[in-house]
Amino acid sequence: MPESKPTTEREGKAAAEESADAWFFCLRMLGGRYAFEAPLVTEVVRLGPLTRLPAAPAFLPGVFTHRGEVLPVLDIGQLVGRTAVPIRASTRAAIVHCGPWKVAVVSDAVEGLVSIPRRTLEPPPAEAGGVAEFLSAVGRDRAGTVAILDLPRLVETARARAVPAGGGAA
Amino acid sequence: MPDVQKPQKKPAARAARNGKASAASPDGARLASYLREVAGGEYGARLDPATFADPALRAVAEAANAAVEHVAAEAKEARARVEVVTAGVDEAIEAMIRLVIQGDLSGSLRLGVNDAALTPLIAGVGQVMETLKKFVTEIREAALQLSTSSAEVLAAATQNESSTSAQASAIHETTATMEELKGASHQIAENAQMVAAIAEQTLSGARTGEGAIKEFMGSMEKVRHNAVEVDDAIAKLSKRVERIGTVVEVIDEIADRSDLLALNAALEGAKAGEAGRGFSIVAAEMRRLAENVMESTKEIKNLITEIREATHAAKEAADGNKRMAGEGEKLGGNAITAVTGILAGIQETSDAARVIHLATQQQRTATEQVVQSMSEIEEVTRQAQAGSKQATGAAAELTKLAERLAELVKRFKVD
Repeated sequence: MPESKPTTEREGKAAAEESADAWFFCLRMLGGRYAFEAPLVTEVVRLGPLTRLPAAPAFLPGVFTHRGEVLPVLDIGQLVGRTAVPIRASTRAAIVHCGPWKVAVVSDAVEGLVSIPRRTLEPPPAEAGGVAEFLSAVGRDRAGTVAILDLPRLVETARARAVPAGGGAA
Repeated sequence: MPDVQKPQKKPAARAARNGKASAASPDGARLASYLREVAGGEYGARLDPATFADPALRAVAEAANAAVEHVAAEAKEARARVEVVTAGVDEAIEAMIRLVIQGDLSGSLRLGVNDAALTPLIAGVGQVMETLKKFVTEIREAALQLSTSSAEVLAAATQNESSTSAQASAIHETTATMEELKGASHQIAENAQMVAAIAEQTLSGARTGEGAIKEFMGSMEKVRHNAVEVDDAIAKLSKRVERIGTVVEVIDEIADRSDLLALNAALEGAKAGEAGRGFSIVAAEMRRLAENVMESTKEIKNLITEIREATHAAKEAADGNKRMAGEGEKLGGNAITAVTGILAGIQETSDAARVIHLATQQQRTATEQVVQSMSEIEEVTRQAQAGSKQATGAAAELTKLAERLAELVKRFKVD
């Protein structure tokens, strides 16, 4: 898709975006399939030994070191106020870049990349609270329904919640 | 008699001579006829001498008269004597007849007539009577003895008969009893034979049972041995399975890493855009392979779990087998002991039954011999009984005869 950019210009790009398949990174958690834009994911790693942070909220079970960087682990299940993801030695974490933030998102299982045409995406159901407030769309592929998360907003919210009002400087 | 005849002859001779003379004279003829009459036994007539003219003839007539007178007297006397003797003899005969009829031999023969001519007769009769008296006395004594003896004989014979009869009935009873005994011993022999046969069957059955138990024990030992082998095999299997589990873990780990690598490769491919599409497809394919591997390892793990459970169960079963085999061997040992006891008992029973059979057979033979002997004895006893009956009859008859003899002899009075 990025390859086609130079030849198709802006309108072409827009048209392509409308017609072509988009890649989403799909996870399993909370008993369903959730996905977000694939380009946000840099790599998938096995979650190493966690270091728990004192006074951290439940959705941040700890931090872990990856390639010399200390990355916070985000449990979306806990964030939206539902059950926690069990952390095991085999638990995989998707390392995502959301603006300035680089976090490791944990889930029950990583399904991988799924390709869904953008025009088939539907708006999320009008629900308030829980995971619904972070949904940007609902898509379908051969395996079934996929809820598309607005990951940057989610990460922002998490950051906002993790840092108390006094810690605005961070 | 000669005395009587002599006077008769004289006149007869005279008359004969006178007859010759009478031819000359009628007086002589008369005289001769008279004399012939006298000679014929006629003594009643008498000559009248007065009628004779011739004196000589008259004298002769007178003499003839006298001679006839004399002869007649003598004849009369002789007749009287004959009568006396005849009466004596008749009396003697009568006395003898009376004696014979009445049997009275007491006293002696006394005759009313006493004549010397009868004396020898009386003496002879007396002698005969004496002899008879002696005989009768002896016969009486003998008859008495005979009576006594025959009574004794009768008593003895009766007793003999009754005892023989008792003996016969006893022998008969004994024979019957022996027959029963024979039957009983026959029954016993048959029963003993049956017992022996049954014991023989039981013996063979128990031997078979013994063999079966020994085989069973052998099988139990094999089972135990096999159970031990099974145990070892299970332990080895267990180890292998554990090893497989380890290997599977490694494979699983590798597959997981492969999956992760493929996932990241896909991500990289996606980042590369259209150029990375083929790469992404390969990566997705790799992921699918890795997932297949992981599914397979999962299955293997499940299988290993099942195998573990199964081997555990098998081990428990093998342990159970071992235990059961041990118990079976113990029970088999007990059974062997019991069967050995039974065998010994049956052997004894069989031997005893055989001995009983032999003994009863001997007894049977002996009983048969006894029965044979008893029947012979019975026969002999029957003969003896018949003989003693005859003897009794004879003795009774003898007694009767003796009594009759005594009775008869009693009729002769001797005292």
